[in-house]
Amino acid sequence: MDRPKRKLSLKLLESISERREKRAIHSLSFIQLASVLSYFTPAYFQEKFEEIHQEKLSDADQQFLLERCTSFEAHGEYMLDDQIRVETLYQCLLSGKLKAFFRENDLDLKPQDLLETMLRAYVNENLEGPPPLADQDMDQLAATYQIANWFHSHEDEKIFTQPVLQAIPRPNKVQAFLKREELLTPFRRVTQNFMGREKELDDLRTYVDWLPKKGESEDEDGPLNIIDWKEKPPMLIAGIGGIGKSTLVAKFILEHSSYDTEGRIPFAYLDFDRPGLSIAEPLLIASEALRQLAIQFADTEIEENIFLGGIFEDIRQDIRTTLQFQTDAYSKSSSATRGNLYESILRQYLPQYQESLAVSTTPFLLVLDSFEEVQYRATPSEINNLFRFLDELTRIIPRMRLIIVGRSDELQPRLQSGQLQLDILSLGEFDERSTTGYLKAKGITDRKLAQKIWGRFGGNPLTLELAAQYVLEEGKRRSIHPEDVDELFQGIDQLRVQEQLVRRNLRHIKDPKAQKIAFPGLLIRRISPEVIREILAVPCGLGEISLEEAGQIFSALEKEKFLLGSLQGGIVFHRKLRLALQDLIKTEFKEAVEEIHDRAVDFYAARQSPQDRAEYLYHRLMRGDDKEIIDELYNSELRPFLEHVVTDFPQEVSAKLAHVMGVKVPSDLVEVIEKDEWEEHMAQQIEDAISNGEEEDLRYVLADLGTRDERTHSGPLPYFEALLHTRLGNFGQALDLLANQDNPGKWNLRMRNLQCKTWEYKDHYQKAHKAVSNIEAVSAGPSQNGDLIERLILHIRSGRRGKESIGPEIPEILARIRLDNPTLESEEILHMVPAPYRRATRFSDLLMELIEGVNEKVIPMITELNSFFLEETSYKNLFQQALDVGFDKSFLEKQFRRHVEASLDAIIDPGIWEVTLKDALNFLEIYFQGEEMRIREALLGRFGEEVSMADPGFESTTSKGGVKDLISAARSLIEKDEISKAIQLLMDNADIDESLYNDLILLSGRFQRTENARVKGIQDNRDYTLEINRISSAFLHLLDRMK
Amino acid sequence: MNFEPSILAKFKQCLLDAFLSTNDIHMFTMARMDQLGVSILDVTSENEDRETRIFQYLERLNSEFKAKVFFDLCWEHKPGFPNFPEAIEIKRWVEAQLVVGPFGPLGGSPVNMEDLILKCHLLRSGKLPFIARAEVKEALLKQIKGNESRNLLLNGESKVGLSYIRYYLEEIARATNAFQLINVNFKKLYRRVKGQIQMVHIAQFITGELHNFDIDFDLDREHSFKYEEFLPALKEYFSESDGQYLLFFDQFDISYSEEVGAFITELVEGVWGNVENYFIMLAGFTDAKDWDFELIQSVPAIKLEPFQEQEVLAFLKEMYQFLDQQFELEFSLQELIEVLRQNESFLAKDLYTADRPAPNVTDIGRNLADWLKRFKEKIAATNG
Repeated sequence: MDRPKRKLSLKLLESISERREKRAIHSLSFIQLASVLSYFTPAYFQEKFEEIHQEKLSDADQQFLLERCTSFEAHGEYMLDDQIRVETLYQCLLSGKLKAFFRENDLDLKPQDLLETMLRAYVNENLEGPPPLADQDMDQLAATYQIANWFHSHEDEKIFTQPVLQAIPRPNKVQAFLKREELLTPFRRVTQNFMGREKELDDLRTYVDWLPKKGESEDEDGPLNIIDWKEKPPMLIAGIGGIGKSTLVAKFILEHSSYDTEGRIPFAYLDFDRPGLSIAEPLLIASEALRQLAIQFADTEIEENIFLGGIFEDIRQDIRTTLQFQTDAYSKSSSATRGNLYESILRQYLPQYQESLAVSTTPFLLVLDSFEEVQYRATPSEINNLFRFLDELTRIIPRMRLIIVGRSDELQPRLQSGQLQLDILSLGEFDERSTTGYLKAKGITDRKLAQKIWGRFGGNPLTLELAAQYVLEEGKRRSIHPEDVDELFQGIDQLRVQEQLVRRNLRHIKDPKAQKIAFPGLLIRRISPEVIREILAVPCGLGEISLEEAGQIFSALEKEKFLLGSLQGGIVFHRKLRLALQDLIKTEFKEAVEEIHDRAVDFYAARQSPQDRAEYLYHRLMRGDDKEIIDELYNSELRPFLEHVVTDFPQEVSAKLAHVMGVKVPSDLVEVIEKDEWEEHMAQQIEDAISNGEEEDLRYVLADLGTRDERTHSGPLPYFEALLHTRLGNFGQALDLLANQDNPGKWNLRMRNLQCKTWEYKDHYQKAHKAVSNIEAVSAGPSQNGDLIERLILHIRSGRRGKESIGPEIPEILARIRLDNPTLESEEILHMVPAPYRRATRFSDLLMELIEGVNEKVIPMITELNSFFLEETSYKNLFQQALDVGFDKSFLEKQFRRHVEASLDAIIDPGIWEVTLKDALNFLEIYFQGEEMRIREALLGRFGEEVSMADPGFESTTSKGGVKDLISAARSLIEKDEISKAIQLLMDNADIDESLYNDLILLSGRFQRTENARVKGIQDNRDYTLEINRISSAFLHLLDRMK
Repeated sequence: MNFEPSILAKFKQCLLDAFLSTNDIHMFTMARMDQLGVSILDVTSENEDRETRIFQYLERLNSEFKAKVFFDLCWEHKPGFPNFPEAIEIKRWVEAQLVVGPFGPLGGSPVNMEDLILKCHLLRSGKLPFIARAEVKEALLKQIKGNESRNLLLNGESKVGLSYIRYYLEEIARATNAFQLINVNFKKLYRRVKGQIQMVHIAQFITGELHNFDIDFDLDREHSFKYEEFLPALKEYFSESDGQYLLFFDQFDISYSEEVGAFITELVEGVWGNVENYFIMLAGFTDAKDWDFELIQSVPAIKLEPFQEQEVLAFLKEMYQFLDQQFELEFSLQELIEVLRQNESFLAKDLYTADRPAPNVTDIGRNLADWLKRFKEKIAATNG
C-alpha cells in the first residue's frame, strides 16, 4: 500500500529565501585577510585573525570562508578562490584600505612562503616591489606566473589602472622569462663550479666573433654576406670523455646569454645524448633549434626581438606544415624539398624580416653536443643529410657559428674527402684552476688541497674523480690537509694510477666480500644480487653464496657511486672504469676473467628479454667466440643495449657488429672487415644512399667503393655497383658490370631489368627490349614478384619505344608469377607492384587485372597498357624540350607535388639530371595514361604554356585576363575576411604560378592551425585577430606577386 | 543514492532493534532478493558478531546504491520499523536528499553506468549542482566505451567551471568503478613544489596514485630522474593492468617545464600504440604552439561556455519533476521559478541578458548550491 506523500507548500518554498543575509563579500575582514595569505590551515588563520582583530572568528564565518577556498586535503590547508582574492585586493586597493591594512598588520603577518612574499611584493604599496623579471629565479618566476594569471583573468581591464597593479606582468611575458630560464638552467647546473679554461674560452670567442672580410661578399651593403664553410669552417671541440667539453660550451653560452643586447649571442643547443633528438629528419632538428631561438627572442622588453621571436615560431610551424604535407609518410625531406621550403619562407617573411636582418650582425651559435652518440644511431646518409642541411643553413644565415662537440675520428672521412674542414679546439687535461672547480664539484672545497692533488696527479678527470673519492672517504676518519696528500697517496705508481686508486677506494668498502667482487667483477656490465651469486661469487673467490649474502654485497656496492651508476633501468659498473682497467684485469686475473664470461654466458643463455640477449651476445664476444655468432644472435631489438659498446670489442668484432647493426663502420675498422662482408656493407650503403634521395651521397659511396679493388662477383654488390653507375650516368661501366654474368645468382632478374633501363637511358630501345625478352634464361627466385612485374612493364615500354613486338613474352611472365603465387589476392598483387607504379592508379589496376588472370582479356589489356607509353619521337621531343628550357630539380619537385601530390623523392631515385628527367617522364606518361598534353603540362608547367596554347586540343583553365579576375576575386574575399574561400579559390585554380604554390600551402596551413586553435578555445580572441591580420597581409602580398 | 556514515550508523541501530537475530534479517532479505541481490549470510562471516555483520551488510548494500532500497523495504514491510526515532530521522534525511536524485530518475534504484554518467546532477555528496555539460558527459561515456579518441581537450575562459568537471569525474570514478581517476592538478603540485612543475614531480605523483607501481629507480633525487626510463615503466604498468585509467591534467595556469608539456603531448599522441586502457583529459590547456598541426586536428575538444538561462531552467524543471514524484507539491514549476527569480541571485532577472558580461559559472553554482542546502534543511526540519 502506498503511503501518502508529504506535502510541500508554496509557503515553505518562499520561506527558504526569507531572511537571507546578503553579505558584501569583499568588505569582510576575514576575506580580506585570506586574500593576502597564500595557503593557511584553519588554526593558523584563526590565530592571525585574533591577533589582528582581537576577536575570534565565528564558526559560521569560518565555514563561509572555507566554502570559498580550494582545499589541499593532504596538507589540511586552504587557499582563497582566485576570483574572490583578486576582486577583494582590487576593491581594497581602490578604497585605499589595502595600504592601511598592510601598514597596520604587516608585522603580524610575516609571509609564510615564496608565493605569499611575491604576492605581497606586487600588491603592497608600502614595499619596494618585486625584483624585475630578468632578475627573478625559476621559483620566483613560477610564483609571479601564478599571480599574473590571477590578476589577468579579471574581466575588467580597468583593474590595471591602479599603479601598483600595473607592475603585474602579463602571463605570457612571465612565461617567456620562465622558458628562457628553463633553457639556461641545465647550463647553470653544470657550470656551478667552473673555473679556468680561459684560453679555450678566448679561442671560442674569437671563433664566434669572426666576420667575413669586407669585399669578399657579393653585396657589401646587403644584409647577407654569403659565406660557406670553406671560408669559416665549423669548430670541433675534441677531448677525452669527462674532460669538460660540454661544460666549456655551457659556460660560453651562459656568458653570452645576459639580457643586455650588447654581447648577447643567441644559441641553439642540440644534445644528441638526449633521447628523442633524431637526426633522421634535419627539419625536425631545425624545428627544435627554432623553438630555442623563439624562446630567447621572446623577452618582451625589446620590440624587435618579439618580432623575430614570432617569426622563428612561425617558421617552426611552417616546417611542421611542410612535413605534414609530405604525402609519403616514409619519405624524408630532401635538399630539393627543403630548397622549396626556404624559398617560400624567405618570400613570406622577407618583407617583415629585412629590417631586422639588416641590423643583425650578431652571430648565432649552433651547438651539436655529444656528436659521437650520433655515429651509432644514424646511418651514413643521415649524417650526410645533417651536414648538407647545416651547409644550406650557413648560406642563409652567414653568421651562424657551428660548434660540434665530439671526437674528430668520426668526422675523419669527411675531413679527408674535403667535404668538411674543421677548426679543432682540443681540450687537454684540466689545468690547475679548472681542476679546483672540478674537485669542488666532487666535494673537495679546500682550494689548496685541490691544487696539491692536481700537482700530484695532473688533470685527467677519471684520475681526479678517483682521488677525490679517496680523499673524501679518508676525510671521514681524520681531517685531511694539503700537506697530507703526498703521504696519503704514497706508493701510487704513475703508470697504474687509476687501477691503484680504484683499489684504494675499494678498501673503504667495509664488506671485504664486496671488495673482492668489484675487482675483477667490474668487467661485467649489469650487476644485481642474482648476477653476484650466479656469475661473480665463485670466480671472485667467494665460493658459493646465498642470495641473501649476494643482496648484502650488492647493497654495499650500490653505495659506491664512483663504481656504479644506473643505465637503462638497471645498475651497471661505470663504463669508463671498465675501459680504463679491463686490460689490466685481463692480465692479472686471466682465469677468473674467463670464468666470469663463461658463467655470464650460462646465466643469460636461457633468458629471453632483449636486454638479456644483448648481455648474452656481449659476453660470448668478450670471451672470444667467433664473430659469426653475431649473424645468428643479433636482431634489431638488441640495438639499444649494444649501441654504447660497439667499440669495446676487438677491431674485427666491432667492425662486424657495426655492419650488422647497420651503422657506419668506423673508418679505422673498414680495412679489417672481410671481403664478402665489406661487399655486403657497401651494397647496403648504396641501397641506403639511393633511398636517401641525394645524388651527392651516391658519389660518396662511389668514392668509398674505390678503396678496395677486388670483388667476389657474387652476392648483391655487382647489381648495386652497376645501379650506382647507371644513376650517375656512367652507362658504359654499368653495362660492363651487367654483361658479366659469372655468378649473377638470384640477382639475375634484377640485373636484366637494370640492363634494359640503362639502354633506355642511352636511347637504345631495341637493345633495351632485348635485355628483357628471353624469359627462359632468367632464373627468378622466390619473392621476386616485384622484379617480374617490373620486367613486364619494361618489356612493354621498351617494345613500344623500339617498335618491337610484345606478344609471346607476356603470358610466360604472367604464368611465372601465378606459379609462384597460386593463391593471390588483389591486395597482395598490389603490394607486389613496385611502389612508383602503384601511384598511377589506372595503370596499376590494369596490371592487377592482368595478373589476376582473366586470360581472354590479355590482348586488350596489353593494348591499353601499351597506349600509356609515348612513342620514341614524342618521348624524345618532350625530353629535349625539358632539357632546353633548363629548369632544375626544385622546379620538378614543385611540379610533382602539385600534379602528382607526391614528393619527387617518393617516386624517383637520385641520380644525374638526365636520368632523373627521364624517370620523371617515364612516370608521368603512365600517371596521365599517355595523354601527351597533360604529361607536358605536368613536366614543363609554365615553360610548356606557349606550346600548349598553340595546340588546339589544349585549353588553359584561365586566360591572362582570367588571372586578373582571379586576383581581384581573391582580394575581395580576403577583404571580406573570407580567407578560407580565398585559399580554396587559388588552390582550385590550375594556373596559379608554380612558385607560389608552396607559399599557398604554408599559408593555408597557418590559417587552418589558427582557426583550429580558436575553435578549440586554445587561442584567445586577441591573439587570433592578430594572427589573422598577419595571414591576410601575407595573402595580399602573395596576390601582388601573382600580378 | 549513497547513505552518509552517520545515517548508515543510525540504520544499523534500527536493524539491531527491529530484528532479533542475523537469521531473522536473512529471512527478511531472502524474500526480497530480486531487489536486494544479496543476503546478509552471503556477504558476512559467521565468526563476526551480529552488530559487525549488520554493518558489513549495510556497507555492501550501500556500495551498490541499495541501502535506500533496503530502508524503504523495512519501512514498508517490517512492522514497527517506522516508529523507531532513528528510522524517522533517516526518512527525513532521505527525503531531503531527494530534492534532486544524485543520479537522476530515482536515487537508490538500480542504475547502470550510462545513467550514472549521463544523469549526474549533483556532486560532492549532493551539495553541488552540476548543470548542463551534456557534451562532457557524453564524451566521457564514449571514452570509457572506447568509442572515440582517447583524448579530450576541455577549454574555456577562466571561472567557467572546470573544477566542477573534476568533481564530476571524481564522483563518476567512485560510483561506477569504470576507471581510476588520476587527477594531475598542477595547482596542488605547486603547493608542494613551490616552483616550476618538473617531470619528476608528475612522475612522483602518478607513481603514488597507482597501486603497486614499482619502479626501480630513484624518484626522490630530482637530478637523477630519467624521463626515458619512467615512460616505458608507466607503459608497462598500464599494459599489464586490467583496469582503465583517466589521466586528468588540470590547472594549467601553473608554470610547468617543457618536459612536462612533452610528456602530455606524447600521451595524447598515443606513443604506446596498442595500450588502450588509459585516456586523457586536458582542462584548460592553452599552449597551442607546442602542439603540432596534426594533433590539434585530431584531438576532440569541448569549449566550455558560461551557462545560459535555459540550462538553469532545465535543471530546475528536472528537479521539479523529481520532487513531484516524491512529494505532493502545492506549487507549479512556474511558481517555483518565480520565487527563485525574485529572491535568488542565480536566477535574477537581468543576469542572463545579452548586454551584460556572461554570468560567472562558479557564482551561479555556489548560489544554487546554497539554496539547495537551505531547501534540504527546511524539508528535513518540517514534519511531514
